[in-house]
Amino acid sequence: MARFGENAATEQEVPIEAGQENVAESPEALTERIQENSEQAITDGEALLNEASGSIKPEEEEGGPGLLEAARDKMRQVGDNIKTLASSTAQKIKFAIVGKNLEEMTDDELAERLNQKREQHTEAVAHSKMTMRDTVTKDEAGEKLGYTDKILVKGSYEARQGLNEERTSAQQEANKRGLEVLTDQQKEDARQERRTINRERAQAFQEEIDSRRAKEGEQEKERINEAVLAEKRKQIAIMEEKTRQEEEAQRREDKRNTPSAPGHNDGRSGNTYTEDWERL
Amino acid sequence: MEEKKSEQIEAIYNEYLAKLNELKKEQAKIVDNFIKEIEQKKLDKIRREL
Repeated sequence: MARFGENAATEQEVPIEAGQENVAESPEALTERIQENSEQAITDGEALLNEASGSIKPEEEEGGPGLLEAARDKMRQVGDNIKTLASSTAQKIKFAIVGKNLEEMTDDELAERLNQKREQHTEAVAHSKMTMRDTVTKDEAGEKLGYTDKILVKGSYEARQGLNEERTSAQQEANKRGLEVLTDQQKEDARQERRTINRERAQAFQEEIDSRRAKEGEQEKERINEAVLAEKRKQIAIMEEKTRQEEEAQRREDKRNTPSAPGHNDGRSGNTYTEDWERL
Repeated sequence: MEEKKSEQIEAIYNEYLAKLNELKKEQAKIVDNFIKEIEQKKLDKIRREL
């Protein structure tokens, strides 16, 4: 516990972790150390406050508990900021390891990067708006928005600014290349439009087929009807011919059986027609 | 390329240390202010009693 009048905490040494000489260690180890440093800083801060409040007996000290609670709230807020710093630093290191310079990226990589930054920025903005508007904690806002990325869950104004810068640089590089990178929403809209066009085309095609089939059906019916008619005509012609031949045969038969007229020899009886007639 | 990445990581780490240092100062200030407020209350109480 600090003595009265002693500017206890601020006069303490705030050590900067000896780390710069070890930067050459692997990025993974560095990230782990960042995490440890941050957790240690949070624990130290809380311990310092606990130590300072150790001699306060809330029931005896008027305003004591209120002051302590307020100080703890502030300490928690700083702890959150330390966590955010650690997460965003880890993320930056990760990008530095896997990331290429924008200029070195292929068009596809650049497009992916730009869309990733657009999405992250949108989420960070939504997150920061929610925490400002709805008096919810950063974790609650992250949970409500369904974020899985802890960086965004802890998204601070700083993270939002950083993402905005990264998004803008990726956009500028895309513009420089004349590369049009669609957002997911624009892609969805384009997909929807293509679907509508394809549906309309398919519908028009189907109508055309139906109409052609109907027309072909009509023509086929007509063709069949004509063929039937032609067949009928043919059969009629055959029947007519048959009838004609039968009639002809009948006539001939009748002619044979009919006696010749007088004076006329039909060549069958040897008599003249007149003789046969007279005999009758 | 690798060298460039190392430099980049080093810069990120140094930036982290600087910011962490600022936040630690903030923590110390919170504790310091808390102590001052408590001491002030004690002083006020003594004055009232006197």
